[in-house]
Amino acid sequence: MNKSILIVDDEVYIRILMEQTLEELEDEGVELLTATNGKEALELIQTEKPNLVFLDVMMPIMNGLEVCQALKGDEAAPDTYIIMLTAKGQEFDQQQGLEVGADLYMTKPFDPDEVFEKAIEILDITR
Amino acid sequence: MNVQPPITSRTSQPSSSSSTPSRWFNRFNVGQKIALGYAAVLGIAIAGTGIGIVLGNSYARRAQAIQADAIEEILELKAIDAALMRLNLYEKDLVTWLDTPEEFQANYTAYQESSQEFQQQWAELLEEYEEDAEEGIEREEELETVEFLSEQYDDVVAVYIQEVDALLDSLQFPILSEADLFDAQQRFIELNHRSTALKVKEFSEYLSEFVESIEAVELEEAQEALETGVHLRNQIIGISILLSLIAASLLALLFSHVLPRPLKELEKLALKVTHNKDFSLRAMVNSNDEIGSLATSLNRLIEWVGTYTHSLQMTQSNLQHQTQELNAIIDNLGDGLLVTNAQGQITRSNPALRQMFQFHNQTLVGQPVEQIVESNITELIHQQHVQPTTHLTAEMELPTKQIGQALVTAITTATSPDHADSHIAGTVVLIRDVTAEKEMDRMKTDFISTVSHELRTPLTSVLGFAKLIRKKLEDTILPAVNLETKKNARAVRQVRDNLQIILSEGERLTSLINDVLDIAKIEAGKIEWNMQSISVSEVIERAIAATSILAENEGLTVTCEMSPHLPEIVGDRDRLIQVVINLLSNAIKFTESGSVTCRAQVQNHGITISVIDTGIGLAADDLAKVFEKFKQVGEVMTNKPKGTGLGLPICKQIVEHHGGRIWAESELGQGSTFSFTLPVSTSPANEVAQINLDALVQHLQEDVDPTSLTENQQKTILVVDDEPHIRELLRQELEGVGYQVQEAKDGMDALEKVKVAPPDLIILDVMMPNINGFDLAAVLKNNPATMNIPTIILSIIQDQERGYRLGIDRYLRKPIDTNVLLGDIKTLLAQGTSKRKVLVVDIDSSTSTTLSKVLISKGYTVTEATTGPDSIEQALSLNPDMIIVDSEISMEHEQIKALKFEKGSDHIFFFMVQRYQAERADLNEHPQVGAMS
Repeated sequence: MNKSILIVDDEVYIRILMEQTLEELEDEGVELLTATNGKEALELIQTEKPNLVFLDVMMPIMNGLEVCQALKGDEAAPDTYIIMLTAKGQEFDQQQGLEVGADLYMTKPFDPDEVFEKAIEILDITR
Repeated sequence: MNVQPPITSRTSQPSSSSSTPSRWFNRFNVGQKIALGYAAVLGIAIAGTGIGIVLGNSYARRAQAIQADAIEEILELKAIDAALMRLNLYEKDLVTWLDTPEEFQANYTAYQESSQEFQQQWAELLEEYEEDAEEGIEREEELETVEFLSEQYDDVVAVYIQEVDALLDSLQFPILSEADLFDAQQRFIELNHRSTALKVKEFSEYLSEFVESIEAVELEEAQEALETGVHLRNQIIGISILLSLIAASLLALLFSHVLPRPLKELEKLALKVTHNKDFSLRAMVNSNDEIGSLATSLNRLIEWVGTYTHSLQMTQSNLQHQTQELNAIIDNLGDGLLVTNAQGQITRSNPALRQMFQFHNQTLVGQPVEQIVESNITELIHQQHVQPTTHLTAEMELPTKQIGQALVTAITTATSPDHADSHIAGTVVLIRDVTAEKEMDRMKTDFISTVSHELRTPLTSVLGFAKLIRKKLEDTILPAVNLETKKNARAVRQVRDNLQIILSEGERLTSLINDVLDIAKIEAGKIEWNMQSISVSEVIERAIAATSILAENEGLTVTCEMSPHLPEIVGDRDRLIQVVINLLSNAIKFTESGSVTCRAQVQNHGITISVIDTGIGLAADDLAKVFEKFKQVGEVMTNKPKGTGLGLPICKQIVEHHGGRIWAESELGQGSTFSFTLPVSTSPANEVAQINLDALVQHLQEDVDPTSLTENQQKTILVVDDEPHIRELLRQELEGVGYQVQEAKDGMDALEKVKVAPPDLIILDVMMPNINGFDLAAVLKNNPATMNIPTIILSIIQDQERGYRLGIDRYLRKPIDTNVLLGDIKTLLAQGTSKRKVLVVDIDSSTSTTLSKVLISKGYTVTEATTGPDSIEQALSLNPDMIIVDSEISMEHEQIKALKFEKGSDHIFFFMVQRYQAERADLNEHPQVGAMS
């Protein structure tokens, strides 16, 4: 089964940036999925069961924390590694995020290289 | 009450005060006045008596004179009468002696003498009477009698004498014949029977009568006069006594009236003043006596009382006014106010408070505070009584679903300024509805989050794409470009440079946003400070390491000058490193050539850290400005500095939070020195500071019972938190490493669970409904059945001290640092029970005191012992879990040595502390030497 990464952000440029950052992984057979808000993301997670989710926190309709919370409360939810992407210096958000089940935090503005490396590490891709 | 200021003076004036005698009289004092009265009475009495005596005496003398006069007169008259009678007698005798001439002659001589005598006396008498008559002192009756006698008998005696003389002449002496004799005799008899002789006889009889009458009348008169005199004298004396009595009475009346009159006036005045409270009245002072001075004193007293009463009333009315004002303020205060007395009874509450707690139209006064408000206020009040000098604050949810912030202040009656022996009279609780503030705070935080997010999102795109472009440029495009042409080569260089500019400016923008956020959070108090004991040298070393690349790039070296034995300070390590990094990078930034030095030294109970550069320096005017926000100094156009302009303001905030001070010293072109101080907590013994307490505590915490190390799996951990997702998080973490996890959703639930199946370890949240974490910990640690269960508090609330005081084993802060938590759980479970009792044995009591302080702050129960054997024995009887002992003492004291090998004490863990060189290495070594478990 192909590995997949879900990119969740309401900002189109960030989605494009993430896609471009991770596009090399498509050569490794990784599928890149995108969602523009938490609700979409949650649906995609349930249906597509991505291995890794880059989850923005501040989004319309349903924010990142709510996505995490919903996943946590759902016994049937797939085991997905969630990397939260949020503004720096908001420890409270971080704490909330970790409490609701996020696995890692990355602060914006992030370094594309770091994101790429992290994805490789988590998806356990050897090149 | 009719009160007038005492300035207007109405005077009550005694009516008689203006008359002159009274004025004269009033010159004397009371004693003199009384003496004067006595003198007057005595004077009248003496004068009256004297006059009486003098008058009486004079009357008596006059009466005596009259009497004497009368007696003299009588005697004279009697002499005349006698002379007359003698004359008559002698004449008659002559007859007898006719025959004897000698005898006759003798008689005749006697007769002549008496006749002369008579005539002489009679003439004298008449003469006297004549004088008396002229003087008019003789009585009429007498004079008449004397006149009559003189008229009737003046000549008779003379005639009689002539007749006798004639007869005698006719006789022939010596008569020898009988006849002659007879004849002579006959002639004498005849003579004697003649009228003349008879008249003489009659005269004599008249005289005798006269004498008798005089005797009767005049003596009686004299007696009467005398009696009259005596009577008069007595009358006068009596009258004068009466007069003096009257005078005395009058004086007495006068004194009884005049003397007390001013007193009465004073009394009346005093009564009037007291009764009417009219302090404008004054006694009229018109005498110099005691009463006068009494009146003056009374006036002064009235004035004083008036003034004091006035000022008292002013104060009272001011006070009343103030009280009204205060009442109005309190009643209209937006904050709820609750005042209790020392017994915890409510003495005052304001409408705002009653509104907050939904007690409408109730006074609440006199009710115990527990019944009125939530338990956490009561708890605060109790705490306040323990620490009266601090102000305690707490937030709570009000029954109106609003958030209240309570400030509890003790009302102390301080008898000394340092509150050493102050007495708590009650408590003031001020509750502010901070719902709006909380909302504002939340909005501010949201705003900061939003701004941060909104700024970062485009920045993320800019930086991210720039980096992707660069990567693709370098990896794919540029290698395909033909760099042979000059144009291409320049374009490639420019693209690279420009891209670099975009990246570095983007990064600068990022750090600017970070700094703005930092400073906003510091100012809003939103930063959590991780204050702990830290080493300044470590801070500096790490800052230098972090800036070394920057310095290398600039071709500079950073030298470090640190005094040896820098004491540890309490501070937030990362934030202080941030300060030093900031100062160092500034120095590097503004120094083109030369050196940058970082210096740390102990100065005035603090550590001064300075960063000295040889750069461009600062103008004197700019020295203070550099710490202001967004105030970058220097020539902006020509020498645009890199940075946000917020680095130094952030440094200032951080340093000031640590109780320090930051400043710059510089001269333009001469380099600059940026320094800051950090206070060192004054520890009583410096050598203790040399003991690495962190290491020691770490060892204590890691004091692991080796026997239990093998079975550290399948231990049960009770997680107490009201947030289900936190419980879930912890469950996952803990189960992930093989522990069994029980969950409790609040304090009550936890107590139930502990009762049913005591867990091996408890993890507690603080902020929970019903029973909060602190209270739960207190309950657990006071129950012998549960007190030995290791307990970890895991909370966002920073009150380690309180937690450790309650006896908990670890205090960890959220967000959860999983590694630390798991490490601590492992350690505590390995220990099996809470090992809290530590015995510190040291020669130097100040060392052990400092050690104890540190240990107590870390949650241990510490017993100190001196080196005396009794003391040690006593301390050992407390059955400590651990003993920290000076290695020298350990060597010297057989008892401690013996204890190491004694049965039953093999669970006791020993630490040897070598004095003066208790470095980390020693500590690592000694526990192994001393551990007997």
